[in-house]
Amino acid sequence: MSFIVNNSSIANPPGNWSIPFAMAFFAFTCVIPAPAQNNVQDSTTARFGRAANSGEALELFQDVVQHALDEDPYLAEARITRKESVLTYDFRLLQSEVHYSDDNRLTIPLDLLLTSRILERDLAGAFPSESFWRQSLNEMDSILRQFVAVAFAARTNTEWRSAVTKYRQDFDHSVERLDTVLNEYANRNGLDVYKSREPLEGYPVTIQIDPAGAHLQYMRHLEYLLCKTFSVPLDDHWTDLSAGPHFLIGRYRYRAIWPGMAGQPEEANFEVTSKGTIPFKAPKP
Amino acid sequence: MNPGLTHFRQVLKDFKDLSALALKGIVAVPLADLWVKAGPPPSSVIPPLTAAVQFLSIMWVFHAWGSARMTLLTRDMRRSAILFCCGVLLTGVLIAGFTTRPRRDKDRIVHGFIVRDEIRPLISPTYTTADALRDAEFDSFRVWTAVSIVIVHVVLVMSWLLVFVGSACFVTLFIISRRLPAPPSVARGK
Repeated sequence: MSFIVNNSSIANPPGNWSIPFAMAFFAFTCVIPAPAQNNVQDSTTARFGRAANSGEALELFQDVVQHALDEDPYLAEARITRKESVLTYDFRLLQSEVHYSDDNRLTIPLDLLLTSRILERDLAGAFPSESFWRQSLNEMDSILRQFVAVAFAARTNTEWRSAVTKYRQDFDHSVERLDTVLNEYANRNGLDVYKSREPLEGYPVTIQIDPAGAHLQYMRHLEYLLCKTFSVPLDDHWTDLSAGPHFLIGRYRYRAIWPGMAGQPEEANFEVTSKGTIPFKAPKP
Repeated sequence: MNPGLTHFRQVLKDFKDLSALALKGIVAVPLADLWVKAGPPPSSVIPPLTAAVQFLSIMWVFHAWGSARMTLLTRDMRRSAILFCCGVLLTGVLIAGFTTRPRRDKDRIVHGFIVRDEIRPLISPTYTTADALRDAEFDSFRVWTAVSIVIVHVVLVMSWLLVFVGSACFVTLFIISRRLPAPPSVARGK
């Protein structure tokens, strides 16, 4: 009963981004007219809208990411939280193979940029007066600046592919370093760290909640049974379950507070045995 | 150079003789587990490790048994076959009884044999350790003690290696035995 795992992913495949982000992405890639590019030599070369150089391309990326963060309630959720002496985070789903779904010059830098912005936002929220995490974030910024420059300027597919491999690795190493400094900080300050033990990867599932205003929470079913057996209050063990993509496997206990429904929250089990969509619907009155 | 190792080099270069091909095939077989993921986890490490151990054991057998007599070779072929059978049996039992594969495209999960203290009260005929594992996101460390999981994992890897080393030794000894002159009784019969 000593683990709290945040199963939310930090970044999602573009296919799962919410409508506002998808619209912004569409505007960025399609509607904004692209200038004539002399360097286009293969079909993978992306159009960077009005950007005349890599600096402007980076600014455009940042605008799209900021728009997504402002508009998408899923992305607005904090992935790193600190409550009193407990630090909760999970970097499992930052692994590149999880969230790079579309291998092109727009989505990969956007994914990485989104990840770094979410990390920056959550770290600033969890450690507003500390700067131990800044160096890792600065590293990520530097990597992203170089990566966008390559995405903008690479003339051949081979050049682009080798850059993707290099910068993905560099970015993942920065995340590993951030993980290390977070643990060191927690040790120095006597914080309990709750994070994943790297269990088996779950199935990619999409949680649907209808109506959207409902409040869903869940926990592993084993945790639930232990709380019941040892008469431990359940309240500290629930984790919010948001609509959107998650990686889950096995059986879980959930409770749902439906808007407009009086009385006790609805409680039941659900089991994930394959990938797909898991709908949660309010019971009919 | 040791005559056994000279023979080893000849076998490596030979792509026509059936036994020489079988020897190369035996080293390649464990690499299939990179995709099949039927063996012990992690599947990114164990198959190349198995192939490397097999290769070393083949070299060692050529080196040490390269000029051995037929009676010795026959005896050790029998021992290799026994090792192979024991390995297959033990690996089969461990994989069937102490591993789970909740996702077909992922590695197996290794169980332990000592249930954690806090989990023990939950276990009953109607709620087994398999149920607890499913309820723990298939994280075996939440159900069994770390020591027992590590012991099972190590034994499983050793028995897995035994299967492939046993088979490699058997084939190698067979190849060495084929180079020896035929026994006098057989020669007279011709």
